[in-house]
Amino acid sequence: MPQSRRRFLLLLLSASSFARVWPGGASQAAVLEPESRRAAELVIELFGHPESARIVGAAYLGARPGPADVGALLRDVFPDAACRTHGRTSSVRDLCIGFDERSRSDFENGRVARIAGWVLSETEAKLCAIAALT
Amino acid sequence: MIKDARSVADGSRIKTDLCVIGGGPAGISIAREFIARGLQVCLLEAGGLEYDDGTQALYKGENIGHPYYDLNVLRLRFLGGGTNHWGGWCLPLDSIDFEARPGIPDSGWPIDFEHLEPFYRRAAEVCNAGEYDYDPQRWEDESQPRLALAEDKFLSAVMKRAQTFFGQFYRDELDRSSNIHLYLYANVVELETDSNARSVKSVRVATLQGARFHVDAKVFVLATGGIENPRLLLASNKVQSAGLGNGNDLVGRFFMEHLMVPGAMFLPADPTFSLAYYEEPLSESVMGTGFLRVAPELMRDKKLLNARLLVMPGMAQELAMKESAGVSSATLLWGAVRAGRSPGDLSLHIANVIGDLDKIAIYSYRRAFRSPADPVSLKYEIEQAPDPESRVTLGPELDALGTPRVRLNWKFGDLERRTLRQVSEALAIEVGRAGLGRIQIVDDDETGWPPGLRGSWHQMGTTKMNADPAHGVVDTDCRVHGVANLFIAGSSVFPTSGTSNPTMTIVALALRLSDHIKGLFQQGM
Repeated sequence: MPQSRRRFLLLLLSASSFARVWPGGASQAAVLEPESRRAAELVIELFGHPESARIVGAAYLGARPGPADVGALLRDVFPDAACRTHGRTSSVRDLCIGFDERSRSDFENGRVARIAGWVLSETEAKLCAIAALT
Repeated sequence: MIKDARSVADGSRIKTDLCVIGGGPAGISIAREFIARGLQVCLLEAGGLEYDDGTQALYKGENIGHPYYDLNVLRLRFLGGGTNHWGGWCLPLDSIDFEARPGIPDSGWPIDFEHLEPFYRRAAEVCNAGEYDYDPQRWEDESQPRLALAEDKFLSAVMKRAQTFFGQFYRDELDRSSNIHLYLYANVVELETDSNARSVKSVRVATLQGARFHVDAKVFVLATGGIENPRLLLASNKVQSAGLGNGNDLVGRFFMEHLMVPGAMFLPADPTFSLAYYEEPLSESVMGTGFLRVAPELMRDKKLLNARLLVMPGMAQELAMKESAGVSSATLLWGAVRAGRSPGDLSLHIANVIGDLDKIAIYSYRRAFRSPADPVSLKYEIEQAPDPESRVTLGPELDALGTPRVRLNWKFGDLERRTLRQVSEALAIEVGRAGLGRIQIVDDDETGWPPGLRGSWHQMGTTKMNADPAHGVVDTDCRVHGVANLFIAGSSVFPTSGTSNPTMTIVALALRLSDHIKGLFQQGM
């Protein structure tokens, strides 16, 4: 099995990876501001199959140094505070606006993540990571 | 007319004007150019009209380098040569392939694309490849659009498909000709020269049935393929001990192949987007297909070798994914860990996941982002850099006619590896940037070579062309440096390989050589 696939497997299954994602994620989620929590929940609704997004997100988080921080990820994906606040009254459709453009911009500027060989935009990888932490 | 060398009287000498050794696409193309031209031409084919085990066994050799095909399977020793198992793909080399490229040692041809293009047009006719029209726009319409990628990164291109087995297709024409004498079962075992190896006087011919005879000629053309051409030169060592034309130890070096690699999976963003442009046929009446090639700008910028990508429809269907055991296990494991419990049959589930990682990765991405498209496989074909250590030499064993068998040491290295990696990354980023979908780099390892790597049955470079005898075996006219009347035809003269299938270039160079030899005879050779 190629090294990267093996790495992906280990990321997916290792106790440390899951421990970082799940218990840490729970505590992170617990301290989220209400509007951020709502934004994170909307992210979940964004996905056709949240469990699949969580698998991708777990692999992404496992490959990153440092702690998994859903608040930081939300700030990265939605840098505009108003956008996050907007989540209270927003819909999945609102969140989707600009998502394709941002993904394309990520590729344009080399902001990509490699997961099991798939080359994804940082934005979509982070959305998956938010799902994994929520 | 077609004759059988086995019926030639032992010890006889045949005198002719032009002797062409080898009845493959190069040799047949040259012989045809001299039909009814007032010159006597002897075309010597080692095999018969059909496959024959005994003759084929003369091709056996030894592979000591990167794993390669059996040398007696790789090639076919009967009239038509390699075209007897030819896929029929016809296209010219790219213009950049002729350039001396910084970062690619020993690259560069002494002729350019514009010089060769008129011969390509003639070669398209000889190959029956239809109209010489390789403009990618010509074959695009609403039902088969090209992928909208940045043109300084990747370009769409087309190749035509001919179904011409040269031996079958041209045998009647050769048989009807009164001045072309095609000898079957005529194995050339040695090129005999004058005392200082400045010209070839005759070739020594042997048959498996025992007859031996000579062919004397004014001009000789060696056209036996990328492995046999150096073999015959190296074996013709009575005057020059290192082999004929091998004063600079170049004969047999720079062996090149096209590296075929299962490179990527493409998950289209739009499932309704048609990839018909990249699948056969180009139109209802034209066999051929489109493909993606690396743009010259990207090659120059990154100092990469040439590479092209072919869409392999249907090959990824198994990854189109219904829920597999691995996917089920991954989902179950994930749910169990989140719930803080241990799933039953843990080892079974882990085994499922290990065996099914590709499916899990793509399945998860597709479901997460609601992608309804099926993934498509992409195959890479990568140019091999000229490397003097990749070479054909003579081994210690002799074949049934007493000629040393070949030993092939196929080598390639970092430049090819870097090209594969950087082209893969550039494609993934460009496809994402263009919003066309996502790419999975199948070989994500960055060490070693993908297990599916193999050659493309193309043998090139072993008697490379260069104006300077210190850097090439043949000169710009394909004449062996230092030997006045010996020319070489075929892919062994390619200084670099590009990624295009070689047959049309072989034929174009053969037609060019024919014109040159006609000129020599007109000047009173």
